[in-house]
Amino acid sequence: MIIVELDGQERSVRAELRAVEQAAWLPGTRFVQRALGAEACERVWQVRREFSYSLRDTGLTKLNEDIAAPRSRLVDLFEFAQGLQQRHGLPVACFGHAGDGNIHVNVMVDETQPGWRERSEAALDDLFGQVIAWGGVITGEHGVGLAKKRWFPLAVSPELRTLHRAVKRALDPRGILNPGKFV
Amino acid sequence: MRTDRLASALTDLKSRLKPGELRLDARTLAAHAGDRWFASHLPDAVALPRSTAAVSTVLRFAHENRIPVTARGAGHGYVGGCVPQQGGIALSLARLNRIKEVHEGDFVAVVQSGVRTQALQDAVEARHLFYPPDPASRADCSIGGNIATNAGGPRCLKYGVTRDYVLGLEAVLADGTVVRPGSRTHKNKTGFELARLFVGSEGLLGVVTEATLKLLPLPPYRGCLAVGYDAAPVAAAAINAVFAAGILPCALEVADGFTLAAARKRTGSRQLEGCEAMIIVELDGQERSVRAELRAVEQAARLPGTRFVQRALGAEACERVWQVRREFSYSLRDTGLTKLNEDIAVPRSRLVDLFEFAQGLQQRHGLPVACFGHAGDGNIHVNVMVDETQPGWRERSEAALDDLFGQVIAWGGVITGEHGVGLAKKRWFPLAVSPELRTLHRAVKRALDPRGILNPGKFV
Repeated sequence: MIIVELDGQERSVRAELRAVEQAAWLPGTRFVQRALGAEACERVWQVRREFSYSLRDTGLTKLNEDIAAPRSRLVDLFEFAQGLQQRHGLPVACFGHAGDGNIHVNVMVDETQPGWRERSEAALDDLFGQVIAWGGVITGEHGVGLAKKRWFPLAVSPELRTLHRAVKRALDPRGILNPGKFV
Repeated sequence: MRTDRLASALTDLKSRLKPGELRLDARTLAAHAGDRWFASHLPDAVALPRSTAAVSTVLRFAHENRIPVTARGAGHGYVGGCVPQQGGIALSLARLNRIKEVHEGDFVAVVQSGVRTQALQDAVEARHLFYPPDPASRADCSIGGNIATNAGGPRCLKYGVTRDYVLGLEAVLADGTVVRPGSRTHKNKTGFELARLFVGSEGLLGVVTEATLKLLPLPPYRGCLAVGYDAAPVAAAAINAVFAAGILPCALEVADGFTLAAARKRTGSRQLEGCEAMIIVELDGQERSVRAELRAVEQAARLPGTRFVQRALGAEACERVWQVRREFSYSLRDTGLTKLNEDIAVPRSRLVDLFEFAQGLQQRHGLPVACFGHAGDGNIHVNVMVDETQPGWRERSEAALDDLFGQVIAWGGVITGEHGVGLAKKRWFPLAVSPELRTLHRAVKRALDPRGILNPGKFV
């Protein structure tokens, strides 16, 4: 499913939404839902917000990885996520910002199962390795923090990590600012 | 470095490069001494590398031997940014001029830094893609120069400046290390924003050899409106009315009475007669939308005091309107005076104050002042017109600029919106930037260029 939102002058939005519908209505279309005006749009976005709740309803823990792939890799990414599921025995749910390739790949983990941590780490190794091989990045909008720290050296070349350290040293020579993170 | 030691070092460097990649002849040196601003300084050598590897060789060598290196794009800057102020090597990226990739699926272009901005735009537009930043000199300037100065242009009102299109870079650091900060994805939060650290760095932090740029779908249609007014405050009110209608034009330009008088003299345009201000509004997008919204713009902009309205629908008609805008520069040149083009930016609400202040400037310093530019984002080109045959012209123009920049900063504005600091604004950098922020500039500079070989003698 895709959600397309337009904004601007009312007449323009109405006409352009029709053009979007024409472009998007391809063989294989199962449904089309139109929304005009802020209130109707909110109802569409409510469905989008339900995605997260629905995944939580499964009772599993959601590892939400905000990778970004070059835009042309969208279908490749969806297929790769399915393969991930088969190889690691973990359900994987993808949704997110298709327009800029920033897809949230949610690896669903059952924390009551033994070895869940190793299996999820192995799945993420696979995922991030493939995303980087495509020229993608391991985080599009959430940041590195602790969650992605292990993969920072995979994502960023030694020369670029040296440059990170040089800038960090210039601004924080005693290393007191948020120590233990990606620099 | 002593002259004889430098000469032998340069001979050594020449032997490490391919034939023609390091030139020492007087004509080549003279051709790489400056840009479009009036300052110039001869380099001791000109490097014309054909590869990133050669750029790396030059920088590694210069770093080891502490030789100044001043990078340059097409040499079309307006502030003397690429003047090799302390000699050494002028490093031209002109030969790195290949468009390596235009990818319709990923909406990215990968280009070497010597590619002309217009050449990139032509290449992507042929495939219905769009690279919006449009500096007036786009036919002559290069992507690398645009990145070094974070160049803007009329369309940046809606689409943002060069910075907003830089997804990734290949850059060579002062010691010759090649880094590739950023990526080809439209979003990236992996570590620091190091690609953008180089944007606007005026060759002081590294040398950009390649850029991965974001592209957009090409808007299929354009429409333009030019409106003349009998007073500047009416133009300012019209600009506010356009925004109040919820419309963000792709460009919104303004010109003052002095500029229009010069343009009328040059073009014989009767339309401009009696106009003390003029705005140009451009919209782009779907044809139906543009047509309807242009009518809304006209309704908003047609205020009491309107002298004329000119409509243009479609790319060709719009070009004719922009031709008038381009005439402004030529018209000012026709006056026979030297144009000191100061690209200040003020908070948008200060537009009328700025026009009035510019008139006062004229009276106080006896120098004609012409204002035109990007009204939508407050980036107005204040052109102080100088007669270089008059004694004391330099002192008078400097005094006028002291006045101008002091007032602009007092309003919370900035001394340069899109051209950069270079040499032209160097004197006012300490006025514009606090001691603490200058210390931070120096700390970042030292971290990236510990030996201070990159573009020395500039604002850091």
